[in-house]
Amino acid sequence: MILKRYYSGLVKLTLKEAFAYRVNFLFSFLVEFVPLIAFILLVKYIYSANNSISNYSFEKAITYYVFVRFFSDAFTPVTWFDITNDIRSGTLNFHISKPYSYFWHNFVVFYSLKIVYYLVSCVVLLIISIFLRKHLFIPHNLTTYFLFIISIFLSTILTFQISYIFSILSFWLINNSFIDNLFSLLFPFLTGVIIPLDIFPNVLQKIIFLLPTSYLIFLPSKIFLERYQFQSVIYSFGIIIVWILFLYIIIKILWIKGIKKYEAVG
Amino acid sequence: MRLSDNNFIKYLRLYFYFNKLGLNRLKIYKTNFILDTIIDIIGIIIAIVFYKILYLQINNIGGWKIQELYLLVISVKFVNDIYNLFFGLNINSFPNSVQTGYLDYLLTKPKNLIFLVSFLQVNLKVLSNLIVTIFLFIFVIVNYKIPLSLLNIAFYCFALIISIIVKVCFTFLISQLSFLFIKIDALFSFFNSFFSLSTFPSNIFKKKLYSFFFTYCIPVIIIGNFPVKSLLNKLHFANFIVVTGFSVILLIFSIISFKLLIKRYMSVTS
Repeated sequence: MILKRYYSGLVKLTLKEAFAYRVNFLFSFLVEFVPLIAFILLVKYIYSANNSISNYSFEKAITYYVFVRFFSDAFTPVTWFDITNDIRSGTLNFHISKPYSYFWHNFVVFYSLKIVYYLVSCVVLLIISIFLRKHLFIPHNLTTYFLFIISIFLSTILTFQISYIFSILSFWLINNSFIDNLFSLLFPFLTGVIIPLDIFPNVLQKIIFLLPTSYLIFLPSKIFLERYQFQSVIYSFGIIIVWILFLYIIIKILWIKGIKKYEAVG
Repeated sequence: MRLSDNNFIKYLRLYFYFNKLGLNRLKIYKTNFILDTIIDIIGIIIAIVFYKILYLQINNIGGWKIQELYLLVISVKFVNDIYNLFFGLNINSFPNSVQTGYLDYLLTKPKNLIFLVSFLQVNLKVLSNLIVTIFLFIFVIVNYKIPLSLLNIAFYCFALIISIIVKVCFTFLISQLSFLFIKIDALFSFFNSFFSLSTFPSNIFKKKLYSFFFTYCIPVIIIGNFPVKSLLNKLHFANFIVVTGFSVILLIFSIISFKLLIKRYMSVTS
């Protein structure tokens, strides 16, 4: 009961803090959406010249790029500054002496901030949707929405787990800017934000679909665009659950080893 | 302030002394330097792979062959590397200098202020990236046997200088907004994000309004397509003259606006 009150209080506090910087949120969202202009114009140009991207219809290609841009911020793993800062500055002492889980504490803060981001950015999405209303694909099948919600739920956990692993590497790394920069380049590519994963050459597809990153944005988008077979989606959900369990064990091991190495600066 | 020969040597000496420190710093952080270069190479590979995969699905985009698009991607990086080498550190940190009052310190120096805020520090870390870029550029030309005349190369070099001037002036103008607003970090990165559009062929901006907007309002076409089109003989001479004229106007405008806006500067330290 006390923990429940703690987490709900934490959500309220994070939302309050984040709303103070709503203009910053709006701009950071716009920054994400600027490349979308180029992708939409590129898709329009390609289809106007009677070409097509694999077997994507024009509407599905446009919707794909709007979709992945909109969800890229929530489902792209990052090094979470709060965690790296806690480890380096020693403020982790404060958290580990409290009765709550450090993992769930950061999970709540991480996604509370995303809520603000999406509340502000929905306005932008609405404007874009008005401009592109004739070109957007909207699914009509109820099963699609059901599967889509499950995939988003699983992606939420998986994204945070990957981010958490990168962040707690700070126990060992003084400066993880290299990893940060490397993955900020690779993730848009591996998650399908730059180009749909199913149009990659077969050899590359085999490698990319072995990675958990292929389930973060690409799978929900595939479901939303109704480019799926029911059985293969259920199979993918099974793989995600295995990944979640595997990463859970990795996190436990890294945390135990990391805490032993932690010097509690200050 | 006009520079006499004597003054010019003084500025040159200041420039070299100041950046000698940067060279020493680079020697200390060798590993970072290597890692940054690796990141840079991966970035360009991803941009190239994007077009490679796309061209497995389509024949061409607006008559651009795949090797020409590779040149476009590398040329944009060329402009960015030169910008980052000579101007990036200075112009990108200028809004911060206004916010923190560091500009007070620069104002007390008996040197040209525009020189100090836009040109003083060289980012030597970019040097290896620039070498990689030049290598890749030559590699694409040789590997794909792209026919080039000396005149094309001369036009490309000139167009590259124009692109760099346009990029410098545009970012300098944006950074000057810090005289008007307290914090412009988000605004600055918002405008900078438009430069990611430079690696796309200008044909995608089919409507005249888009084409005009992305040439003269947010000059991504000048930074990306203009030099490569000059190299590949895809540009009318009239357009070449117009863009050159535009860059001169932008240069003058950015200097005048700086001189006007600095009057609004209120030191935060006094």
